[in-house]
Amino acid sequence: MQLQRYSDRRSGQRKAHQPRRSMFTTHRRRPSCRKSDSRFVADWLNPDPIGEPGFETLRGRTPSPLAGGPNRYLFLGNNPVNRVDPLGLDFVPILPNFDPLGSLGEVFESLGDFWYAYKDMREANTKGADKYFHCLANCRASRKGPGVPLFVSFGREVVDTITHINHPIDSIKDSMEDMKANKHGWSCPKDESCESRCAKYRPRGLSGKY
Amino acid sequence: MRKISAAGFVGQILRRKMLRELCSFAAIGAVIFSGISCGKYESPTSHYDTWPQLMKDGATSRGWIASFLPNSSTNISERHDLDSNAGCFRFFAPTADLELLVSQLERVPSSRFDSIGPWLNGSPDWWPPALAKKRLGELVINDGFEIYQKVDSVSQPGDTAVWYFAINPPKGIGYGWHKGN
Repeated sequence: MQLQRYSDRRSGQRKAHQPRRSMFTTHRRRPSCRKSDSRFVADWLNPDPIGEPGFETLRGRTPSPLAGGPNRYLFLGNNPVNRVDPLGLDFVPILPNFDPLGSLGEVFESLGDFWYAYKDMREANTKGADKYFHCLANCRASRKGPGVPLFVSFGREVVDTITHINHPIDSIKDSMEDMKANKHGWSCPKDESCESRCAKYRPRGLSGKY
Repeated sequence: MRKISAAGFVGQILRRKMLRELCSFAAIGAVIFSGISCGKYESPTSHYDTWPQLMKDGATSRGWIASFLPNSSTNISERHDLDSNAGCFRFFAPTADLELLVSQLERVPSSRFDSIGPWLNGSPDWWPPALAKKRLGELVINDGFEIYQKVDSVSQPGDTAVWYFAINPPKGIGYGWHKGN
């Protein structure tokens, strides 16, 4: 069909219903396949016109066979942005559904938890206490939202690894241990106190006031 | 194109989603800055003229100095890292007391010198350059020190730790260090 039409054009013949192209058009326009403002391809009237029977003649005027029909995102619970179904059994989230920074008030409260734990760690000045305070800070901060603890803990360990670069293996090992303590803290259930959650990291010599 | 004032532009930024992005960048900057600037506060140095002064401060109960050092130790300097839990110390004691201490320690063969070097990030003034560069062999051959170790679980508030020592009894000086946990 396409070859036929080009040959028609070359020979000066044109179908009556085809509008004349602008003389400034240097390429063939793709058919207007995007009829909807949605950014999801499946919402477009004709998402993939190429290869459809009669594509070249109808030029995207064919409504999608599924338009207005079955819901194509039902298998993802109508949430195709955050969910995938790789095995075709059930949908799973792409990422945990969290707000990276949360509201500003909660951000500052979480940062405050980290600051007070850091201050206590320096004041306690006890060997092995860093993991206890890591755990405690993450536990308290994660109750206000998971974004800040993740960000601060991970950022802190990256900076630590860089500043202790002259002992890279020990530094990475230490950071891994710290991250384990962080994770133990931020996975604390709501009904458990942070102190009891982090008790396993508490060193023997740490003062009772912490 | 409509012209807007600087204040209007800032207002628009704050109203729009850029606020969150600005906050994110500020937070990233704050974490990096605080991480770097806090580094020096996490390596406190202490000095004790006598052993009773050290005990009063609780340096042994907090795990930074071995509790089995001679009670006659003087001029004790110590530095540790709160994040890595590694530390080092220097002490002076009479020869007889150092010999008694050495009798309680296990000698480290020279084949293990490479793996037991001090782990401290940066060295204080009083720390010998040979130890700072992890050249324990130099310390033994040139300065007459011997390298010892002791596994200690009593004085440690945290996990069991291994204390390492470089001691020269005739000179009455000893250096100690421990790895973090």
